[in-house]
Amino acid sequence: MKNIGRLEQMFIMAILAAWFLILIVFMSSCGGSGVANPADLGIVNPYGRNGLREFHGERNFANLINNYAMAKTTPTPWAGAWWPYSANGIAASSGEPGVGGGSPAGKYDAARGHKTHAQEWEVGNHGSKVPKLQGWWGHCNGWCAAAALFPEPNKPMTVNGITFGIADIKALLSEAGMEASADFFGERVDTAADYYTPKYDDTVPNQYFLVLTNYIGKLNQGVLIDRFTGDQIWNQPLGGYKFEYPRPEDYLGADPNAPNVYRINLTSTIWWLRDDVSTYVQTQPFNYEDSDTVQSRVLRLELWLDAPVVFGADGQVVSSGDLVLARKGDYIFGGQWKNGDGKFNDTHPDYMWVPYSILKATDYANKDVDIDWIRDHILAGKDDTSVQPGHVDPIPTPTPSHSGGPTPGPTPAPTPVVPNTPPPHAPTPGPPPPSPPNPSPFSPTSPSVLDHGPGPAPTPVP
Amino acid sequence: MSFQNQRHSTPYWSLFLAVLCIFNGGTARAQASTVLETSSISSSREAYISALKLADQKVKRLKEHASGDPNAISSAVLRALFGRYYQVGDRWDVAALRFDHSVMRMTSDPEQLKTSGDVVALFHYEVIKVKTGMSPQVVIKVTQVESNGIPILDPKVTELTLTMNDQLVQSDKAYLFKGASQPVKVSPDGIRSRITPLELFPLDVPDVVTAERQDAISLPELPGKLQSVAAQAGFKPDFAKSSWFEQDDFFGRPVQILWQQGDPWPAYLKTPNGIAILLHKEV
Repeated sequence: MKNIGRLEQMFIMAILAAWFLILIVFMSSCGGSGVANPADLGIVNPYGRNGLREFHGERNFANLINNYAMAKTTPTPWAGAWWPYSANGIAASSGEPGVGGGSPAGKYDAARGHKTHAQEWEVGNHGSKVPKLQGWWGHCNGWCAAAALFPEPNKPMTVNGITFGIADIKALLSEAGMEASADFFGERVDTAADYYTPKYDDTVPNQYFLVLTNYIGKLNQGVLIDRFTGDQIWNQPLGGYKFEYPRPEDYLGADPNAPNVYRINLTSTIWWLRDDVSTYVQTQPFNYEDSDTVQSRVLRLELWLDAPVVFGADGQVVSSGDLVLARKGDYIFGGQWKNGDGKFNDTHPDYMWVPYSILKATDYANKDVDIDWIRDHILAGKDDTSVQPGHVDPIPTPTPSHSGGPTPGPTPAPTPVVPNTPPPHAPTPGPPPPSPPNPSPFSPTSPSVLDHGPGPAPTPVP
Repeated sequence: MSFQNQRHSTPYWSLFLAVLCIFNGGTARAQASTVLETSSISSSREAYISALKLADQKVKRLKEHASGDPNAISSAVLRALFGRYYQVGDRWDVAALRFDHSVMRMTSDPEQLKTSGDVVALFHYEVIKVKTGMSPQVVIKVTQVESNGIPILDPKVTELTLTMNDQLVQSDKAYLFKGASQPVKVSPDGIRSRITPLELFPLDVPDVVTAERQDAISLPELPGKLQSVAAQAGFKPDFAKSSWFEQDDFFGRPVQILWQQGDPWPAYLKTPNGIAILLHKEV
């Protein structure tokens, strides 16, 4: 009896322990703080990740590198085309077989009973007749915003008897995405003169690290970059990033002139979705490697912190300061890029951005392309009974311009465009410092790390 | 060791020029080309150190602030600005504008880089809770206002609550949606969510306690869509009674604050995504 009693006691204890565990799990899964679940309200989760109820930004290097050294955007944004103006934007043929003739804009007008004039607007405003057209002008920003905000179209949809192929749907979403609300990090380089201002050096490394680790690392939220460091714009959505875990020898400590700032070298890889793909491509699963739809770039940087980095005996970062960003006027300082001497078009992001929503077109996006109509009819596969569909207008022929055809995008690996050569109006740089006795892992003489295979021809010197 | 590593970085002389531009009056962007043409070049090492020193100064400033008595500092700042601590029932109205950015546009055509999509909305602020003592806390309720043809921006949102901690820093931010009994919390420190278009408006509590304070001289020109609202409300800050604050947001971007003595809220608040002005107060 005594033994049975003990067993009973143990059984009861086990039951109580199990209930206690269930209670804890239940409370933690409910937030336990009286916070509403956004999904129950029919609104988007504030941070896009199921179960995340509260979020605080993180600036501590040790916490970020130990927990978010690598991360993916979820879901992966989709690869797509940039619909160059020189080919008439989305008034051009998509080239997708089996979905009927006509451009995406022409099909849209037909499905809407020609109450819209999207194709005509496109030719006049995003087409080859645009004055002073340059070959790199196009829809990459619209594609990026759409790729980060909408699931990838994966099958043709028919509305009012008009079949919209995958490429047509991607094109129309990209057009609607031309005007989007967003948060920006870094100033845009507009002209050759900007290469010699801090506009070229931002996005600064500390911002780059904070944006990647907080938005993609902690939230898996879409981050877009202008991968053309120089004066063109080549927006790309990031699929993910990875920082190589720092070694003790990467820690530089403080400079005597700035005893409160502690420095550490890092090497990162970013992967972006490609725009040099077929218009109707289906994006391959992203797994931190290059593919037909993903391209990468390696970037080296030095971060600045407000307290020392301490490594444990096992090489782990035990503690550190927070990342520090300083500012004077509009210019931001924090860390330093270490990708070789000279000016590059293919190195750190010119700027980074996080898209929030598609805005109603004002005067830049095609005013006849309505995101609500696309959502309600094309994405939903639902006819619009308020109109009589018409015929699809023929595709207009692009007018040859001075710029010729579309400009190839920048190369994935840094290529100096004006090494140590300032523009004529800028002063001459000082003499180079003496060579170090031992090549640093951050030396440009180790290009193999940066080289991810051949890319398009180097871009012109600005 | 540090010198070796610096050798391989982006040329410092351009950074140094930029620092020169910055020290040459603060409106660096407009003056950059002039300075580039007239400055003599110094070594890249100097430029690197100049930038590092800027960061060093900021770290020192924040450490000095942190080593003081936080409660004393924060309440002293508020007394200097507002004249007293917040009380339940203090209320004021704000007009806020969200910028329509064109940074990302894949064009260099000046016409296509012009924007006309700035959005203005009106907001009513009211202090609904004040907790004093060891851990002071102020809770402010923000509601959208429809007035003078300016519509409510997000009808789904009933109210926004902002909570300040003992440092007068926003420690909590939550939206209450129609039909919900509990609020949805979002990041209080500037990581914007997609939950509502209100997120990009400059509605948050600005951190003035750790900001750099300067004399107020003038106000930047207001964007067109805010000018008419400002004129209707008689918006005209008295610079003799105002302080200008320069602060950085979570990502180091500029936040500018003009605070007129006796006001419960900045007369002018500019963030990377918009501008807010104080229209009216009842305190």
